[in-house]
Order: sequence, then C-alpha cells, then structure tokens
Amino acid sequence: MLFGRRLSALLLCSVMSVSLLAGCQNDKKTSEDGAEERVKLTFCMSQTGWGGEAVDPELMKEVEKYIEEKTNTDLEIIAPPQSSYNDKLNVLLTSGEIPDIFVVRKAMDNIQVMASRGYTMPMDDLIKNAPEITSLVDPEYLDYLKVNGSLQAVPMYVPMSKIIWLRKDFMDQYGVNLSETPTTQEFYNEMKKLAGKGITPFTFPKFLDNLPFFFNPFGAYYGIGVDKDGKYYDGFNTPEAREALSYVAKLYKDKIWDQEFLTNENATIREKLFSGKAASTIDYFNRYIYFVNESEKVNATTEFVPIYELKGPNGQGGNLNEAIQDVICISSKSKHPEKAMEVIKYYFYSQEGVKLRCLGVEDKHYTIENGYIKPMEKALNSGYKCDVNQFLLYYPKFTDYGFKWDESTEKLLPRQMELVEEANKHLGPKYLIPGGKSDLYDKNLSAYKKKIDEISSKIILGTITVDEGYEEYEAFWKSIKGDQMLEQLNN
Amino acid sequence: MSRESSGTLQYTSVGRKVFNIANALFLFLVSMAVLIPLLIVIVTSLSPDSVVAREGYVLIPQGITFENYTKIFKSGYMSAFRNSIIVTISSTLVSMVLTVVMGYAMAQKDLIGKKFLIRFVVATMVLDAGIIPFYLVVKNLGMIDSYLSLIIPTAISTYNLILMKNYMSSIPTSLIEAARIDGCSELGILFRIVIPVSIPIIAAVTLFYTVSHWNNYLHVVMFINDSSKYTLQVLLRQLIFQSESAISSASALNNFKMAVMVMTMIPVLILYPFIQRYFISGIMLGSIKE
Amino acid sequence: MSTNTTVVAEKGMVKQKSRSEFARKFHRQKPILILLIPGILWYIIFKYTPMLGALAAFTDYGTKAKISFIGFENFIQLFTSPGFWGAFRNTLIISFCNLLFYFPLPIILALLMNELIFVRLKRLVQFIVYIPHFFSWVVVGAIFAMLLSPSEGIVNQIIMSLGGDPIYFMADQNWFRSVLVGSYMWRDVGYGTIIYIATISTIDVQLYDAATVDGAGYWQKMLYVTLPSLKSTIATVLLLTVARVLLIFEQVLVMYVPSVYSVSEVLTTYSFTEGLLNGNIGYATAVSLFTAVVSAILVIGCNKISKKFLGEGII
Repeated sequence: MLFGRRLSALLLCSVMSVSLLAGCQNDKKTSEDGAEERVKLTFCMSQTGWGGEAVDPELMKEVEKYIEEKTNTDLEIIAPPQSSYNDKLNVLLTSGEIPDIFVVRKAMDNIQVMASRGYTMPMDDLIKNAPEITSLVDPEYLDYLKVNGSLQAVPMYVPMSKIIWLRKDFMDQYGVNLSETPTTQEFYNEMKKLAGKGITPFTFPKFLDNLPFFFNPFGAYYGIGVDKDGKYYDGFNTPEAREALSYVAKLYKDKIWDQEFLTNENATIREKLFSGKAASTIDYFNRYIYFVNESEKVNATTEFVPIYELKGPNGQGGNLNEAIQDVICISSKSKHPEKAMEVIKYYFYSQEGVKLRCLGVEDKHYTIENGYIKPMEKALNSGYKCDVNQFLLYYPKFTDYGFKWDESTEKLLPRQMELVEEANKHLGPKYLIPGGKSDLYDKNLSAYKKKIDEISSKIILGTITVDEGYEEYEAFWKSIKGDQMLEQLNN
Repeated sequence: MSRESSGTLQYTSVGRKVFNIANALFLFLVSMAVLIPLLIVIVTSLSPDSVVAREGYVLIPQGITFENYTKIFKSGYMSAFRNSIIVTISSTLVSMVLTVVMGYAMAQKDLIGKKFLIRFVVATMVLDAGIIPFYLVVKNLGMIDSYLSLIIPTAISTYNLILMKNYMSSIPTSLIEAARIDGCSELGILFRIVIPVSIPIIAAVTLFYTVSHWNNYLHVVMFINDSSKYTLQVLLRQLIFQSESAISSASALNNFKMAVMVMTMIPVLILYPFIQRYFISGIMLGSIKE
Repeated sequence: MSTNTTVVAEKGMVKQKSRSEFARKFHRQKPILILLIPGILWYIIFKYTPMLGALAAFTDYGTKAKISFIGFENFIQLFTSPGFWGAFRNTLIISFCNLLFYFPLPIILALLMNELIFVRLKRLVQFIVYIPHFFSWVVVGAIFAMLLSPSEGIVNQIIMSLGGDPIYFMADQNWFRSVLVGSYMWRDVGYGTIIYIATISTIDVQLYDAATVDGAGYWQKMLYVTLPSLKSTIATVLLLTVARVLLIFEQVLVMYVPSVYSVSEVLTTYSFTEGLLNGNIGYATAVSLFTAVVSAILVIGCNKISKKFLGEGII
C-alpha cells in the first residue's frame, strides 16, 4: 500500500515536474541576459480585451506592439476566445504554467480559490508604489479582493450594477406610468397593462443570478448573506425570499415576465428590447447609448428610461449590485512582478492604456477625421466599434477624449453620464463570503448555487408551488449539511 | 435491389411499387426535417438586420443581403481559413497513414497478441484521462503553440481504427496469402491488394477524420497560444459569441451568426460528394476474387 | 493455385520445427509487427501516459497550493454527494434512450436509402441527412429552442392548431430528455448511416443474384442478404457506441436550463461544473474514473452479448 502510494506519487510528480522544469528554463534564459534585454511576460486575457473587441489577430498584434513599446517588455499574449477563457485559464493554472498577468472572472467567487491554491501573488507591496491604482479605486473594493488580509488582485472594471430599462414608446402607447423607483405593487399594476398586447412586457435572461434585483425590495438575499449582526445566514431560505419568489412567480403567471426567459441569452434580451419585441429588460447601467443606437438601426427607434430599483412593502430596495466582476492577478511564480505591475498600471489604469483597450491603435483600428473618430473598415469587419460604453466601465474616468464621437453619441452622452451617476446611488447589497473558512462551503458552493437556481426557476415557471420548492430545498440543505456549514463560516 | 451495378431490376410487383413510393415519401419527410431548419439558417443569414431583429429566425425571405458574408470575408477569414486547410489536410494525412497501417496489421488473422492489442486499444475509449494530463504530455513534447499539437496527439481515433480493422479482416485471406507466397512484401500487399479492396471504408474514414479535424475547436484553444495561428472554427466562434458576453457592446444578430455557420460548413460540404462516390458505389470484391 | 502454395509454405516451415511455435510465428509476422510499432507508440504516448493523471483522483490536486495524497476521500465525497447519484441516474437513462432510439435509426435509414431506385436521389438524400452533423451543439440548441418555442415555434403552433396547450419543451422536466434524444438523432443520424452505406456497397452482387435465382423477394433479400452482411459492422458500431455513450457532454451543457437540472445533469457535466470549473481536478478526475469503470462494465457486457449472438466477440 505504502509502496503503491509512493510509486503513484512519483509518477504523478514526474509528469508534472518535467513540465514545470521546461517552464523554468525559458524564464532563466531571459533573466540572465543583460539588462538591455526586454523582460518577457506572458499575459492571459480573453480575445475581446485587445482594442475595442476586434477579433482580428493582426489588429491584436498592433495593440501588443504598442504596449510592448510603452512598457519596454516582450509580451507573449494568450488570448483565448472569451467563451472558452475559463477553460483555457484553468488548464494553464493547473498545469503549472501560470501566466505572469492573468484575468480572473467572477472574482468575488473565485479570488479566494485562486489565492488558496497559490496561483496569485500578494500585491500589498506592489500596490504601495502604485498611486495610479489606489487613487482611482475605492478602498472598499480593494477589500473585496483581499484574502486573509492581503491583496490578491486589482479590479479591471469599475463596480457594476444592473437596472431595468424601459422602452418609452410602449409606455406612452399603453399609458404605463412608472417612476424611476416604483414600488413592487406599482410595477406589477402598470406592467400588467402591457400583458396580452403581443409584446413581452419584461424580458429576463436565463441567468438567475439576476434575480437579486427582485429580492432586494423584499429585503431578501439570493445566496449566503450577512445579517445585521455580521453573522452569515442562508438568505435563500427566509420568509422574505419566499415572498420575493411568489412575487416573481405572479409576474410570470400574469404574463408580465418573459414566458420563455429560460432560453434567453444575454444577447437575446438585448435584441428583444431594442427591436421592440419586449418592453423592458434588466441590463447594465451603461447601455443607454447602445440601446438607442441599436433600436435606430433596426427601425424601432425610441427613448429608453430606467428603473433604478423597486421599493418593497417596507421601503427596502436596491439595484442588482455585481460589485467586482473581472480582476487582474499577477502569477505567484512571476519572475518580474514589478514589471508585470507596470504593464497593469499602463494598460488598465492610464488614460492612454484605457484608450488603447477601448479603441485600439490610431490608423489601425480607427482614424480621426476633422476631429471626429471613424472606425477603419478592417476593424469594423471583425466586430469592432468605436464604442463609448466601454469607457464608462474602466478606470480612470475620461473627461476629454481628444476627439469627437459621431453625432448621435455626442448627443446622448450627457444623458448616459447622468444615468451612470444615478445608478450608483441605488446599489443593492452584496456580500463576500471568505473562502478557506469552511470546507463544506468550498465543496458545496457550486451545488448550492445550482440548486437555488433550479428551485427558483421551477417556482417561477409554476411547475411547483413555493412550499413544495422549499420542501425540496430543505432536503437539499440537509444533504449538504447546511447548518454545519453556516456554523463553520460563523466561527 | 437498387445497387448501381446490380442488374436485378427486372420485374416489379405491385407491392414493391407501393413500398417504393412509401419509402421515397418517408425519406422525403426525413430530408424535410433536415432541410427546413437548414433553410431557416440560410434564409436568416441572407436577411437584412431589420427583419432579423423583428423575427429572430426567418423562413420566408423578406429581402436579401449578402452584407454578412462580405463582412465575414473581410474579418480575417481567409488567413484563418488557410490555417484550417493546412491543419486539416496534414492531420488527415497523418491520421489515415497511421490508421490504415495499424488497422491492416491488426486485421491479421493469427497476429501475436491480437486479443491483447485490441483490448489495449479499446480500453483507451473508456478511460479518458481528461484534458490536463493530456495537455502536460503535449507540452512536454514541446508541441504547444505549434501545429504539430493539432496533428499528432489526435492522429488516431480508436473508433475509426476499429472500423478499419474490422473491415480489413473481412477481406478473404486467400487473396492476401496468395500475394504473400508470390513474394509480395507486407507493404506491397497493403498497397496492391488491401487498399484497393478497402476503398469504401477508406473513403468513409477519411471523411470522418477530415470532418473531425476541421471541426476541432477545443484542442486549438488549448494547445495554441498565438492567436494568429487560430483556425476558422475559433475565429467564427469568437464572432458568434462576442455578443453573448455580459459586458460586450458588440451586437451580432442571428443573420450574422448564421452566415458564420454557413461559412464554416461550406468547405467540408463541398468535399462530401467527391468522397461519397467512393463509399456509395464501392468496389466489387467478387470481381477481384476471380 | 492457392492450395499449392500453402503446401509449399508448410514444407518450408517444417525445417524450422526445432524452434518453438511462437518464435516461428514471430519470425513470420515480423514485418507486420514492425508496421504496428508507430501505432502502439502513439497509443502509449498519447493515451496511456496521460492516464497516469488519473491518479489525481486520489489527490487534492487543484484545491491546495501543495498536492498531497488523500486516498479515497474524493470517492467518499462523491458517493455521499447528493448531486452525484442524480447525475448517475440521468446518465444511465439518457444513454439508454440514446441507444434504444438513436442506434437503430442509421441502420434502418441506410437500408431504406439503399432501396431507392434512382442513384442520384439516393446520393442526394444521403447528402442532405448528413448536413446537420456540421451544426455545433450550440447552434443545434438554438435551432431547437426556436422550433420548440411556446410562442413562435412550429411544433407548438401545430399543437395549438390541434387544440392543445403550448409546451415549453426546453424547460419542462417531462420533456427535456426527449428533446435531448431527439436533437441527438436529428444531428447525427445521417452521419451514422455512412458506415453502413459503405458496408452495403461492398456486398457481393452474386449473393443477390443467387437469392434471386432461389426466388427470394425484395424483403427476403434485405433480411437474408443485406442485413446479415451488416451484422459484424452493426455489432462493432454498437460496441464502440456503448463505449462512448456515457460521455454525452457538450450537448447537455449547452442545452440545459436550471429548471431541468434535476433530469438532465449527467456525470460529465457534473464533473465539469463541480470539479473542473472550480479547479478541483482531483474531484473531477474521480468522477471520470467512476464513469470509466461503468463504461468498461457496459463494454464487457456488450461484448459478451455479441459473443452469444454472433459467435464471436469484438474485443
């Protein structure tokens, strides 16, 4: 037994160590060469992050060259398609080939795991010499990215939240009268006017992690939350959550809620809204110009108005707060963390870098004619847009772009800026659950999330009643030893 | 029977006629079940944005535009297309050489350790180690980021190998023995006798390999880092999924997505009739025996 | 002619009688064995070496900074996990349905296509049914979601015109498995016929002629000539299908929605979402290892059955 174990350990280690050795050798070569040599760094971020979402490899190389020159580095860029980004990153990380700089998605859930597996390098010292970052990012959000008190990553986007977007034309046509913060009852009553009119009053994506928007008005939390005393509790199994689910189920039953929401991709709900198949949807705060422009393109032009939050019976509310989604990490094995930090500072936290990310390289991605920006044809064909929306998501905030957008964008921009500012005043709650504190939690997290999605969707569809749903849920909670899990978290 | 070569189509009974008509009707329905969705794909890909945004998918054309196709052609399609062709042709060649040679060897009636060998091969279908150990092997061979990683590690498909072996072992032994006695080398037998007799299966397996190498997506993403080496499948998936991302502001309507799909299918679809000829008409084993 | 030469060959072998049977055989088969080398090497390098990675099932690989052996802990977690048994049950049900409904279809279709009188038509039909294989599962999922949509889909419009209520097939627990099997059939049936058509094309014409002389009708010829000639191909394809049937993955991953998790979560998707996606490679590998064991049992069983009916096993 002992021998067998040793043998198998040996075999496994040999497979893995050979690969690690191969990686190390490459690194050594570059560091031993003189100081003149540019530092070699690998940089892993999905394909869409290199110059206005253009997927053309040639254009991407232009952006790469530009960063290399500005930061005096030799970058090896790994840019997998964004739909396979997580798979590729997982393979790289688990095979020990950790890129010097890499992006982690859904950071609020994943950063703990990344740190506890030793993939990320603590940035506490690095950040001290990075006023570019600390001056821009709210310390609260950096706190989200700390594991055991040490910083593991920096945010790529500003904190994000989702609100409801309504088409003005349908509201006027059917006499729907809603404020920017209506009560749940008002929302139901007014939206009811749109039901049975051949349009979908409210469309929703198949991703049920958007449900908190409807949980917040009832003071419920979709997942493991933190109560007033700072104790962790199961937000899903509360009277408030039942109330919220009954409310949504009622919206569904009365044909206000999209009857086919479970087959809606993110792109589908947007299309439904701007083409006039749906009267409203839930989406990010920076979508105003996008919706107006797209609706114009398909001959369904209208104005779009927001609902920042719904107010519940007790006056509670809040929008869908996603806080931090994508973050940037430095490899724990990086030979040149300072240099990696420099690249991060340039590409994610300087005006020039952000411009490069959002728009690409001048005369490759776009040109400026008479002060107006115009996309080049080659870029245009690979999914590129001269897009102001992206600028709203990044640090630092731009006040002067150095050129003018096309006419309609220029016209709409001030309104969009107002919307951004207002949306930030309606942030819903968002709690961070520390990893490594409860092995039950770490183990069952994804099963838990899947289960609450499953129960919620069945209740909304009406295939089971709220009580039946919670009966099933409680059985599940027992099977994962939920109470024990909470105890572990609270100790 | 309706075999092209068969000369037995002399009389037809009433029952036979009824069957023929019913059969044709049934196959017509089956074809329709395939054609209608396909038609939707094609019509949608040719429809203008305003129609697609309203309808989602379109079956009856309301205006035609080739805009999406020209857009794809200009989006670096050609270079990705070239990459795909290089990878597909070379990996299919390697695959076929390995599969034919190994299939032939395994088809020998009294091969030493034949039972073990077959189990050795079939066991790999069941026991799949997953992507990460596979990645480490490919990496240690220094193949990462080179097309070798798309050609060698996926060269043999056990499924195809077994089909090949199975077919070749049905070739009459007398045919091979005779050649062996005449002093033919093993490779000589393979090329002069076995391969000509096995044209139908070789055509079918070539098709299987070509299609799977052409459609290969996962391995390209896993083993290739440099995006200028990406193949068509990767490029097109990027174009399709760009708009699915939560924060993306790209908008790709269905017409564009469907055009992308048609563009990935066409090259291999064109190839099909050429290969089909070989496995549909076959080779007369009987005539060779004489 | 051939009998003469074998006699000569046997005479030649008599000389080597001093050597053992095996050595003689080995000597004779040397050229063949050499041909096997590249293939065997390939299998060792690309199939068997990675299998060492299956040892990860006994480690906490992926969850900690340092890998350590944890014995059967992953398996204990597996067998006590509520999701696992549901996934196992779903895998068996969906695989069984796929075998039952999908597997015979290409055979029937190949036989029927073979009966078509006009060769051009035969080729055309073959070509058409093969096309859906080129749709990736994402697209098949989108197409089926569209066809089955309660409000706009053709299927529900037919149901409604017959006076029924629309069904949300993609999200309905009672229907979703049928959607999986149906879309699988739709996509791959034409592809499956290729191998049978290739085999039918090699059936000796003389067999048909002889059957005609014996007064056999069309049906008899199909039953007593065509089908028996396909026997070994069918058995082989069945075995190869069984070996892979539990590995259904991408289709489920792109098509399922939360409300049907409980009827459609299969072992591969379970391993992917709870293991790989969390970076818990050890756990994911344990699930794969379990799947492999079940597959192996199925393959061996299938081989036993084919031995019984065909007189010879495939493996």
